[in-house]
Amino acid sequence: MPSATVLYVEDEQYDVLFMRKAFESVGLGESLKVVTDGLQAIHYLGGKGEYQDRTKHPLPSVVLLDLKLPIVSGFEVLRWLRGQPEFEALPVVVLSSSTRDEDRSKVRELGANAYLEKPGSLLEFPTVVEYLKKRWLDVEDETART
Amino acid sequence: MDEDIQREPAEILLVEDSPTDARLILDAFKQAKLGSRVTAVENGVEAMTFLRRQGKYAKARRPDFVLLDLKLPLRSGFEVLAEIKVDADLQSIPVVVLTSSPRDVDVFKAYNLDANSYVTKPVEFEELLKAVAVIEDFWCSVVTLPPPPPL
Repeated sequence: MPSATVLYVEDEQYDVLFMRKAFESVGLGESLKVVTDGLQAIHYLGGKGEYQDRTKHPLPSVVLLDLKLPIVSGFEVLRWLRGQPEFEALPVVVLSSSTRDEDRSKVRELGANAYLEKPGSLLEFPTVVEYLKKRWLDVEDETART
Repeated sequence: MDEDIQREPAEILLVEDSPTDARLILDAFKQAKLGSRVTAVENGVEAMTFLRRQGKYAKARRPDFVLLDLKLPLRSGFEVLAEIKVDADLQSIPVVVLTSSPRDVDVFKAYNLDANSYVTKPVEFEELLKAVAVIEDFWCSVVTLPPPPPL
């Protein structure tokens, strides 16, 4: 059982594939949970339906959130999340292909912790994983997280 | 130094093209409450105009140090850095590069152009605020800044 989980909210299949490979290559394949739209993200976090089973769908230590999502946008997920008392302090790293400065500003206002540009090539995914691992995941110390 | 100079608020020139980052950095200065006066410009041409006290910046104060992003429109941060450091009048002004690139090639180039220090912008908003506070504290409270050149 992994000691830390990343919830990756991303609809583009190649990004998911590359991210999964990057996680697996550092032995964190089990840590990555993926949902492919904003509504699923909200259900996952809220433990709705199938996501009630926390052994299969553990609460994440950090959410990796794309902004451009079907059904419910990344902005809306972020807004919802910060409105829930139990997720007020949940780290959220936004990944965006937008270069618009207004989006970054908005993301900060909505309470995201960090804003990263989406990896543009296969080589850049491991960098994101390294960052997450170093900063937000407690993978060395099993007892630090419940 | 012969006299104990009473610490006046520092004058800082911020050269940053991203309005979000500029706002964040300005917020950080406000939060730190060291009373620094920060002028923000968004490209390299404005930066040089300010430093040379030309045009609308004729009455500008000489900055105590410059916070310089490398990724700038019109003129790259490297060009601005190079120009400051070859100018006899401006070269003593410390330039702190504050930029998103952590790449060795950029760091090497900046230090070779005589940047006084290089700070890679943290990706997290909170960490950026903290970094700016540390930078301000270091350059305003710890460091002995150069006196202005004789007229």
